[in-house]
Amino acid sequence: MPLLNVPWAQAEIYLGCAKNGSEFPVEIGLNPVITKAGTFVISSVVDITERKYIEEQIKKTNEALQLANQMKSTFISMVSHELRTPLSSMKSGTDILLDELEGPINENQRETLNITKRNIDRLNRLISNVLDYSRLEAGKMAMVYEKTDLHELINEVCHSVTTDLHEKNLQLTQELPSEPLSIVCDSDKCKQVLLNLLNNAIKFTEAGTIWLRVIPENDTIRFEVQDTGIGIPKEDHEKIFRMFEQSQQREHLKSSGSGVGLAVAKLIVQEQKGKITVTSEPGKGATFKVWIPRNP
Amino acid sequence: MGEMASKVYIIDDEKDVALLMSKQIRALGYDVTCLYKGEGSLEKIRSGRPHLVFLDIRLPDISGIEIFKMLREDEECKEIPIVFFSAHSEQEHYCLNQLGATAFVKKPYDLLELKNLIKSILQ
Repeated sequence: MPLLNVPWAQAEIYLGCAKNGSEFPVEIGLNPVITKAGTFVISSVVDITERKYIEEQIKKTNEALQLANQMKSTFISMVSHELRTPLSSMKSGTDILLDELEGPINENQRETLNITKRNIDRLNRLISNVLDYSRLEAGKMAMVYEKTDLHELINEVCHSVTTDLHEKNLQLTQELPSEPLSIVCDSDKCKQVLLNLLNNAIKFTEAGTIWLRVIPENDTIRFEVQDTGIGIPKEDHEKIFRMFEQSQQREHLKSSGSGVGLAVAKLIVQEQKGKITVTSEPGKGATFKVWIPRNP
Repeated sequence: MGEMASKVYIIDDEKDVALLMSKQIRALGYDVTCLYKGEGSLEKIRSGRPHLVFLDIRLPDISGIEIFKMLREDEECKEIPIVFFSAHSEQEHYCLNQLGATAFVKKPYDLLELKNLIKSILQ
């Protein structure tokens, strides 16, 4: 046997035959032992039926998991399309009435339609976040890096939350350097991170101000969203970034969210090789900080 | 705009979406036509010569992407601005950067952004 020529143990698998004629897998090991008296061989024959069975089970489980994961992605993509399409009609219909394309509306009707529209937007954001989370988790989110003007990006983000701020009578203060500032990033995804943080701040702040800051550091840009809301106890600082989870304190609120926005924000930031942190105490508001590299 | 109103085609099998969008675009003063399937749309575009086409990606017969490619290879239609219009936002990068579409509108769309886009293309 060639096994004798190598100084380490080797084993091969053969089929053994039991007394009753049934076959079973055996592992035959040959282990050379070199002594002064000469080279000896330790041989072993092991019935590996059980090991083989477990290996087969693991393989099957892995295949089933891969299939399930694939099905999950297809399912989420399909659901997203099937939800967004009717949502699109609902939004257009509301816009048509609000734009008075089909006749004048009174203030009560306008209020009702604005509420409907706000909730359509909210549902749309939720769908986008869940879909993005599933893509990010599966490593299927392709980032599109491009040079992005931060003044423009911040303006667009702030514009998107105008109605929500107005509804709760909250102030939003932008603080960013007056000189032009750009970054190479996936601008849509960066917008989504800031929007998620702002929406989170709006949701949990009943009165006061929200600050959105942009602070250039050496190789990174630091974004900060600070609110004067209910705050988050320290023990929940990690939990709030996990999907579908949120602070215990916030769960009691009527308007408690879905626990999706911050989880997605964290994954997007990590995908862009950045970092996200929170500092907060109950009753003292919260500050979320995001660092994004200037060049990926 | 009077009799010379620019022509906008919407190709989308989701009739509700197309109908409501057509109302919004018509209100801006454009002449809007809705087509609800891919089949025959190329011929209708050839004969109608719209100034702008909104094209859904997922159509039941021919995909919007196939229609786009055929239009781009067609001598008479290759200059027509084509805006993809889809709930599949993940296709945006491909449609804009690989195919070279004029724009990509995600469903549900923001009306103000839609108005600005149409104006910027048809001005």
